[in-house]
Amino acid sequence: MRYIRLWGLVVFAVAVVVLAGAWFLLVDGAVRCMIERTGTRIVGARVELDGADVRLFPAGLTLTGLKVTNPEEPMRNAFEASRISFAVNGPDLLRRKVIVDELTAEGVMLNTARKSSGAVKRAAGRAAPGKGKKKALELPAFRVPDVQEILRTEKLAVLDHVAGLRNGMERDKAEWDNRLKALPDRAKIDGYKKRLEGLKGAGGGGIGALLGGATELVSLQKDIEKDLKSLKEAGGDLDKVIKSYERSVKDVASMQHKDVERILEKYTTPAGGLSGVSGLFFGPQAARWTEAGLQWYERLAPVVERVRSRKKGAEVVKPVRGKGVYVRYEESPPMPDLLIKKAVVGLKLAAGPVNGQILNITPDQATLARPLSFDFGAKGLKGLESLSLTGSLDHVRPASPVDTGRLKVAGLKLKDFRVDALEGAGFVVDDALLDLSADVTLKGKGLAGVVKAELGSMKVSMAGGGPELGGTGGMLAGALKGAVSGMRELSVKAEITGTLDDYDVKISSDLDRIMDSAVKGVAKEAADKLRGELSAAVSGAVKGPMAGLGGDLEGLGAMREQVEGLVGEFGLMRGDAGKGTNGGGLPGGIKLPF
Amino acid sequence: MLRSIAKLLRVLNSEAEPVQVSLALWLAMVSGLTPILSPHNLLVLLLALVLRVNLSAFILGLMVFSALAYALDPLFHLFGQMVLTADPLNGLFTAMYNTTFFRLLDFNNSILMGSLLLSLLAAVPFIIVVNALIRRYRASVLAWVERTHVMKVFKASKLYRLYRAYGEIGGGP
Repeated sequence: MRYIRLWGLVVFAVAVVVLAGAWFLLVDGAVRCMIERTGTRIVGARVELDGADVRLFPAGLTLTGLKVTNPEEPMRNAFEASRISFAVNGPDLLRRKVIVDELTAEGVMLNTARKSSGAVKRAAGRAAPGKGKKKALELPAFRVPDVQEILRTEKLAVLDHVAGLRNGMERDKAEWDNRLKALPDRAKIDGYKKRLEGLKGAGGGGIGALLGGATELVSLQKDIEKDLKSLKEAGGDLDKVIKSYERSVKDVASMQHKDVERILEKYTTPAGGLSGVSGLFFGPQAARWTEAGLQWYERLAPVVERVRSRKKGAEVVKPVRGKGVYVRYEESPPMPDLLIKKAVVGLKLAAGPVNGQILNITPDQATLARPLSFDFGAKGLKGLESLSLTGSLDHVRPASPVDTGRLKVAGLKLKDFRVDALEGAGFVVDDALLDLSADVTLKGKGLAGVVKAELGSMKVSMAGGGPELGGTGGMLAGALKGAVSGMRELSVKAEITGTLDDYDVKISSDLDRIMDSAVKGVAKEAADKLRGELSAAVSGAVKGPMAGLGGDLEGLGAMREQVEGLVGEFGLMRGDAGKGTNGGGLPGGIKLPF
Repeated sequence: MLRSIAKLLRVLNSEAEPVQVSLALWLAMVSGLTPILSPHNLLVLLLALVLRVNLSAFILGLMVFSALAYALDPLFHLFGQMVLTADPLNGLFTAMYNTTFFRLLDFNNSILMGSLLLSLLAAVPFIIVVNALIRRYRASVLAWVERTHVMKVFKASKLYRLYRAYGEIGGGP
């Protein structure tokens, strides 16, 4: 045995036994450390494991006490599991394929408290979701000034109208003064009486006198008729003028009312309006939840898709960690390196147990040709009627991945749920029943989602103070508080559009309508209060000019009476002239046989 | 304690022929340059223990080549990737890839392939060169080393006396 050391075989055997023994002793700890290290790197926060138990026959692994810290809240675990157990296919393991038929996760709980912080130095990546920049609700400017101040600054159309009427009346009065002077008057009636008396005394003058008297009588009658006609015309014209002014005076009341309403609308409508209330109340929370969801999606992305590239036809896959690259060749049959065919998960929520399963967990979906799908559900839980979460992460074609998720929650009892929006204020849903549905799709980088929430049997209270409003003593804020506290039902809808890196969350809800009604209510209340005062003030302002107007109208009325009086007298005169000198016969007492 | 150490040193320093030393160094190169936990290193360890090669040279060489590997890894990666993605060898590697034995060996890792292949290709020239260097060292440098003060002090130590005693018993140098 010139070239062989037989004792070397013994040493080798001992070394192998020692190595195997060390492996048996240390493998559990090594696996535990590896899971903690890898998990911490992927999640960006501490991942802890109480214990790992590696089995050889059959090959498998049991993990106990897994805790994954929430990177955004280092004092809370995103989830923890009391026990995770799975068996691995031995022959496949020799080919470096980890194929798990069924993985069982028991006692999975979400958002549990930690005893110590699980924060680690954050790796570069998606920025942490902000705490929700609370934009203050900018209540519209709403200050109702003093009535006298309003009248000092506002121009009243009614006053202009009254002034115009007065000017017109004065002008017309002057005109009619002149016209009346030109009209026949009592002096003319006296003249006519004298003429008629003269005619009556001319009876014994013979035929010539008779004929001359008749002619004079006819002329007298014509003169009277002419004067009467001009008086009647003047009276008619004056009547028209007066009636026109009377109508205009009646318009003063309606103009006064219009002025009051115009001013009320101007001073009791909040400037700027109140819009986007839903976004201000629910936006920050919705943005936080969306951002947190996207962050977790990006953290878990390597689980569903491996980074790969191709060189000269062969696929080159960089391992998650380690040196060098692995070149993959065509497999027969093709199989992913890691595949968990079915993971059965038992979630423990405060409401009760929720069971579900996740199928086809592998970073090599293209090889497996089947997408990852998940399905969780529960019914009849404490404080929750039913819950359903389904979806799929389809990366079978890495160039065009499609991820979908659907969540349906029915009859969830909400208690003391706070909605913070206003600076230092918000509202608290003391009690409500929530029905929620969420549908989210991610196609490539394109994100689209709709979330609808219906709250019923609500009891709401305002939390904290509200913005003070100068001048109204918090009138608007008080109305808003009252409106919010009075809500019994509420529908909220959020629409998510955009891309993973640049998305927009548009929120609408009944809150917009409720707030708008509250604002309009406040405006109406202010308007009602102001209307009486303003009407009285405007009436007071118009009273003086109206009094002058009344006087002018009375003047015109007196003129009309004067003309009517003259018309009456001239009418009598005409009657007298029509009877002639002897009660209707010819002068001299001559009677005709016919 | 000193006896045990002396005994161990004697064992390690047996098989001191130049070819035994150079073969041990080559085995150390294979093991040191390739990822240490690779399965093929079990075979290397077996060969180092079973074949009559110089164990102290193997241990020393393993340390030296493991340190060198950190610097040479980029070169191994480039060479290994080039070999693994060579079209003419695609068929061979595909067949190997679908064989459990070769999958266990992790042959499709670029650094392992590059370092192992280079170590194997360098086997013959390496052994020849190291062999020649050892002979030259023993002919010229060793005599000078033996005359140094450090060597004289060491040779006067009890450890060395025990080492020589075990060597005479074992029939070694």
